[in-house]
Amino acid sequence: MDFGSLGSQKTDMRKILIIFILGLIVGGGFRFYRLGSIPGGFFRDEAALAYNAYRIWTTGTDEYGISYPPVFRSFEVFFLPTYVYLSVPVMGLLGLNEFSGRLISALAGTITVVVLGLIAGKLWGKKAGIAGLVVAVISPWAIYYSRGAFEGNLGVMFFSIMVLSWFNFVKNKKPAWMVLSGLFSILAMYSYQAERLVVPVWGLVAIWLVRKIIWENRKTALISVIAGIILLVPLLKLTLSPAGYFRATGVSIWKQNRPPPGWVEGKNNFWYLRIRQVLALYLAYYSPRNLFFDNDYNKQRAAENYSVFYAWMMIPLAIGVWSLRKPKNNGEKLLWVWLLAGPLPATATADPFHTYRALLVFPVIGLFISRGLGVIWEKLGKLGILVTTLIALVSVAGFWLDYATITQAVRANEWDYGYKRVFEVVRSHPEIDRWVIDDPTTAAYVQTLMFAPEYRVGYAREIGKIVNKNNYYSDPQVLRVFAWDNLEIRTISWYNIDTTGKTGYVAHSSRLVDGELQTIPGAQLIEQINYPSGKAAFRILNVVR
Amino acid sequence: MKFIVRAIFFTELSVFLGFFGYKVIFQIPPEAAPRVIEQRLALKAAGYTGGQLLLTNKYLESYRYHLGKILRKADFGYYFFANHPREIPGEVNKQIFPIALLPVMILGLGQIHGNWGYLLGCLVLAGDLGRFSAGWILVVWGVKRLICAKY
Repeated sequence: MDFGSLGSQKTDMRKILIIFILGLIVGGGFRFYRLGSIPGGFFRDEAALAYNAYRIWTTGTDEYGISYPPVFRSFEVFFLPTYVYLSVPVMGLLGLNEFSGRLISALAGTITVVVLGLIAGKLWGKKAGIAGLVVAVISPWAIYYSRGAFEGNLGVMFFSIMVLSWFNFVKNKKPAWMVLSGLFSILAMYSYQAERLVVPVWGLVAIWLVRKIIWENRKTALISVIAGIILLVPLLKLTLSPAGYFRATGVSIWKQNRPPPGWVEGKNNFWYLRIRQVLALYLAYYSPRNLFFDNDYNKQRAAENYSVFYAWMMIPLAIGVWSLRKPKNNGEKLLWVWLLAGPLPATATADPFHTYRALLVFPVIGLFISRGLGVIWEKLGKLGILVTTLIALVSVAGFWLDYATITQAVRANEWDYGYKRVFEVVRSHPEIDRWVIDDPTTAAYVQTLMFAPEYRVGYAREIGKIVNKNNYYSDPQVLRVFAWDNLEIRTISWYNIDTTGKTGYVAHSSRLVDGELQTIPGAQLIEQINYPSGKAAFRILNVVR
Repeated sequence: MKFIVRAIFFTELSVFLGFFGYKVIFQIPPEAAPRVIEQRLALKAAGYTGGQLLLTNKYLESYRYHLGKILRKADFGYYFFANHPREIPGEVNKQIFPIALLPVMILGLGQIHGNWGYLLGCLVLAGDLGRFSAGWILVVWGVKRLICAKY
């Protein structure tokens, strides 16, 4: 395989090293600055990851009391273990808080920046390498997903390192790189669900393309494969249990018992429409509209006014795709495989343009953009570099200001904002004997465990009574405690409440809407917790008649 | 071939200028105002009272509106998949081209080099008619490439 070289001369190497260090600092800055407070809330999935890591650190068990599980579960969702286990020492060091929960993702995002720069450099030379670094530093998707506890972001890092190691193996023919690549492929598969499908597809094509080199190193390859299979046994075992497939089948397009759009019984062909639907879902991940304008349909996974890439990146992307239309080497072929396989897991679900499930496709689109930028820089020289740098600076400044201000102001409700304050209020009212939380939109129990240490022991005691360790992985039904110590999580009927004032009620604004408070006789508002936009998030009250 | 493409392009351009005029691109859409107001109110409530308010304004909103309008029409779903998952709100999305033509069009993209300005012009300027023409230009190019590859 013919890869370009990343700076053959010493002076070049020094310059490139400085640029990469600068990229690491700037990229790290965008990912770590006020990590604990931006985004403003702490989403339930983040709380689940962070709390389970904390439990492992303090007790060696997960929130259900299972000792060092190979897969974790929270609110009937199973998730892969790497993020949690990597967060365990962080919890020991920094304690349980928003920053420590997000740290691994931010770190993964920062490392990914450098890895993508190195991949681009390895394939197309130093200019494209620097372009790859710049694109990874400033891309909205990369900043956005690095600032939340997203295990998929960790998966992207492992996948990128796997690709880089493989390219090194093919170039240097040193089996150590092959072993390293295999190791990172396993880590990627233990990080996030989507990687379980994309890694094997990419890996099989990668092996096929360099089968001769692998045959030359067959001894190491065989040992690696055997070791890999042994390491994957727990994952394979889980894949066959509900813990492994429950989530995938739950969101699968085939299992939702919904006919494809436009289907009328007896009028048109079901399978034609189903295939058309799947094709439409797949192509949505390459649609300029989604990539450069509309973003994810779910507001929790998108910044206000920005998509996954900046609109101007359409031009270098088109140039990059054009220049790579005939792949010159195996590296470029493998990029195409990455690009085409990336959206497969997301396509199998019925959601349109789910950026998180298709997170793997964005780094490779970034690589195509960096190839295009490299071509532009080659053609236009210093003027091209200057103009692109200015555009990049303006873009990232605009995105950051938008993300840190407007997005936080108008989308805090998407991030379960307000729970931290809820439990501060609860703690400051010891005269209230009992608390009831009504918030059907979130898994309130996991937010309680995250922000209210006083309720953790009681929850662990009660959940221990109902968990059957034999069907922990095989029974995906609801398995949680709704009432423990002096706390209840349930729907409040405002016609049937404690009127002695001894019970405090925490109602999400969707459950006690503006103006409804005045219709409850004797209701005394203890505190209203607002979103940064000034709209109510929670109302905390008791009733005295 | 070039003559046909140019003829289509200039027809589109004249239709566009005649019917809509330049103001279509430069006018500030009525949808901009509520979004700007909502975002500014949220920013003020969050304690941002200075330059941050400039982040949201009618000119930026207008730019986003027009960009969105163009890019929504550059969506594959709009052309090939009726009832696709992200239909344009308020419009009945019909299937404009048969799915079978998709590979031929992708093949036709190979002929864009040197002609892309016309194609882009058709897409951006002249509404559904332009996009319909642009699609068929791609089909013609695709077929041409197929024939050339055969002989």
